[in-house]
Amino acid sequence: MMADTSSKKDRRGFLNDALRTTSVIALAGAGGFLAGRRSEGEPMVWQLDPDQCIGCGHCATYCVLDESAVKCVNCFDMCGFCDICTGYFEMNYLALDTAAENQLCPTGALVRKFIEEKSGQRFYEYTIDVPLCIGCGKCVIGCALMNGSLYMQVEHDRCVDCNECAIAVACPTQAFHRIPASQKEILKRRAEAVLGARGRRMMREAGDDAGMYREGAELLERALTQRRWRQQQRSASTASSEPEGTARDA
Amino acid sequence: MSQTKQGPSNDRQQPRPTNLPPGVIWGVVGLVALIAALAVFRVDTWGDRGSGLSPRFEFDVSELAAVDPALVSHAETAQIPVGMQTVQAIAAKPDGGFLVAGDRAVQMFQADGTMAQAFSVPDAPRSLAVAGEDHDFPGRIYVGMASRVEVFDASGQPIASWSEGLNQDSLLTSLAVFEENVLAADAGNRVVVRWDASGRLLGTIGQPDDRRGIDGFVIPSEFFDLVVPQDGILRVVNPGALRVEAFTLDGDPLGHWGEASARIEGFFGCCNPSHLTVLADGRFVTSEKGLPRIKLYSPRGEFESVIAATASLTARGGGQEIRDEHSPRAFDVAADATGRVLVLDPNTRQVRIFEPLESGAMADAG
Repeated sequence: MMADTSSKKDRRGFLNDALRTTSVIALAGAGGFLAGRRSEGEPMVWQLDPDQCIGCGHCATYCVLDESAVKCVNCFDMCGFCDICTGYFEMNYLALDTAAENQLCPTGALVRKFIEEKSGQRFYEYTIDVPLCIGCGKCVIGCALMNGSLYMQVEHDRCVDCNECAIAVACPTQAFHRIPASQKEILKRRAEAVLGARGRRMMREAGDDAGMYREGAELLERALTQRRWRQQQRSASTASSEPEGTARDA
Repeated sequence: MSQTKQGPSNDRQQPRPTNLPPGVIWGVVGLVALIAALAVFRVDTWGDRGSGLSPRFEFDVSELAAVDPALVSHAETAQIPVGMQTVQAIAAKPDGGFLVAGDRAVQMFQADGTMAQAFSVPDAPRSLAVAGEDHDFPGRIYVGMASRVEVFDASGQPIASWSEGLNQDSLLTSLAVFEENVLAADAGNRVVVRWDASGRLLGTIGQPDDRRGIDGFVIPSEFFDLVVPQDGILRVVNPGALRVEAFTLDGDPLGHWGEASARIEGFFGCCNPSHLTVLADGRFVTSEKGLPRIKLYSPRGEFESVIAATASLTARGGGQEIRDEHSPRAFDVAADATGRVLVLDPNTRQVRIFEPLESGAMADAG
């Protein structure tokens, strides 16, 4: 009886095939892993562009959280530290004091603290009592009458980062954007300018003060991050508005 | 006696419902689908029905913007369009004409609003002044950039560029010429810089100095204006202090006027008035930002009347638009020898001319 050698493989052939198969699987796996790593990118978060915000109040009521993740912030570099602060006082205030009837903020979330008296004027610092702020934007509108140092930002320690942000959908000016998590904020253009200027000045005047130099450099980097982001936004906007052929030709 | 095993009794079973006709079932399904669709459509996903916040959350400036008509002393008599994308500064010429700076140019207009000439400047201008007959070079045009002054002759030919006394922090927001003096308000360094007609630095005015009783200028934003009337006393707005301060040209303080108040007589907010000019009779014209309004004060700084109320300067009469690119900007003012007040409207890019009402007309308006 003749042995059926054609249907049997010798051990060497089997090992060769096994090695080849294993190599192909390993290569495919490694390729897939690398491709996955490359496309992973940085996590993105929602943020509000204050230059697009109109203070409509939607942030207070459309957030899926009971207490909105959008809060007011004060850019002190832009603030006038006014006594008659149009973001703090009702337009028909009875007195320049902290009585509730004089305050513009319906929840009393803006805190007024005396700083100094100069040139016959009293100057005050305004900070946000974050848990009290509901993101209605009333103070933002008031402040915009003058310096516009109060503006809205998404607080990332509160935001649950919905895939489709309900406020972003309802925002009448499409002021909400996805930004890299490391960027955290979107500054007003004017805030970017004043922070950058202060950073440059601090670096210039730091001398041997390493701490001052570092603080100046951080401010400048913060401003430059904003500038880069806005440039990317402009580029993306230009590319999307150009006809396809034009963009490809370019 | 036979025992029967206790088990689920068929007697307790409810009778099965009779089969409903398919039409009824489909009707119910359709009704449910309709209710669901209506519910979905009623949800205001797009925010079209507003925020739902109570009126307590609305910002209302109407009370502050309202002006008693009896206080209005001027009427708008002409609007002259300026062919620029952005307008920054206006200055009156001694012959009744005026100049407007903006974009990277200066345009010269005759008294009737006809544009006579234009010339370009090397950078974005921020301030402007024209030398009068009392100056060493009558008709000379001074244009302030951020950190230098460009000097032109009366026809717009460049003569010189001055930067002595200025630095990279400088931000020139206003210029004035009195006799041989040229003065600039430097908002960046919070001082007034003074040169002679050749551009030689004569000194600075307004640095904090306890010995001389000078507190210094408080400048929270890029508005810092000055003027030198015929009395030769420098008037500088101290915007953060909400008042106008007087100095000799050597820098000695002489006093101040203006009060912080939301009432029509005062200045309110962070930094007002934003602009200042003087009439030939010595009365002052102030322009405020935020809620734009232009007012008239006596030479001693007492409130006299309203030249232009908020409603006449802004179509909407309020302050609800908060985006920088869309919000109303501050109105520069100038006054010519005939008493006309020239208001540079940066929103409509026009020179708006206001002239005094007849005394009877003012009474009628009241």
